[in-house]
Amino acid sequence: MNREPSTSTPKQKLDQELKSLHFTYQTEVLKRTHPSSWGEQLRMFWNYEIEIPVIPAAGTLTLIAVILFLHPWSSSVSHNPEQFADRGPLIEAYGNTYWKKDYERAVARLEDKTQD
Amino acid sequence: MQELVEKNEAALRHLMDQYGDELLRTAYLLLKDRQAAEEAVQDTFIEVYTQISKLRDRDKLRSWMFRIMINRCRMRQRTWSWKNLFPSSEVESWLEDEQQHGPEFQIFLEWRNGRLSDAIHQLAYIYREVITLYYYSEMSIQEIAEQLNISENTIKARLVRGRNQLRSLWEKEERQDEQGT
Repeated sequence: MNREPSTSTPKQKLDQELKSLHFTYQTEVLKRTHPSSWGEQLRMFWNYEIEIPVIPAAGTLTLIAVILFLHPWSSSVSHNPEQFADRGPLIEAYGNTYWKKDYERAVARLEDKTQD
Repeated sequence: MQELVEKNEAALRHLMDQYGDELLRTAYLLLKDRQAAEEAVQDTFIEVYTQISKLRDRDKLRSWMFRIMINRCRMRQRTWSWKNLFPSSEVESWLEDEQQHGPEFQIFLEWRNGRLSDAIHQLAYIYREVITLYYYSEMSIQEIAEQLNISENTIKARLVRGRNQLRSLWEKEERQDEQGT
């Protein structure tokens, strides 16, 4: 029977089992925290960690998605003043509103028809 | 501590000498892989070094480092298994069985031919985590609950189930020993 040496706590037993494990990455840590060469500085920059808060980031992305989704709709129904600049001002006739030039063209057409 | 805040390299070396092995062994118990554990502890020290000014209570340095290391281990663990990080719904039912140092405690000490650390590695991550922090890092249930940001009852339940699984492994090993002799 192959029993382990007597220990008084699980921690001591585990320490006994893991005694060969020692942290050996001190140099790598120091290279990252105290970069001496250009390459190490570049590596530190490349490995730089940023923290992005989930809720604000997700909210911003959702907002952008909504704006992008609605943009084509809003542009299709938008009324650009320059688009109607050549149609003259708006006028009211018999309780309705018309572009002045449209109205005049319509009136001229009716007059032509009645003359015919 | 103040020297660490002032970005003193010697202070960082001292910190690594003081806590490196303990953090590495804990990370190894959690991750089951020497290299992954080394990398997790490496990242822990880098984060400690860069974020040290945020630590307000200097007496909590060790606890803070452990929290960072645990998070690092969880991040590595998540890359291959999400499901192990979520508790099962039946966990709460084991609460009533929670006892202080039951027979399982003795089993820990009398583990036979196999190694206790190997047995811990066979547990699912959520049980390995609490068993390691409770028995190896010797944290209290309250401390573990704070570190993992989950309730004390859940910690107790995971401890019970982790110990039960270790006992099953121990009994299996005993049977194999008896059949072998």
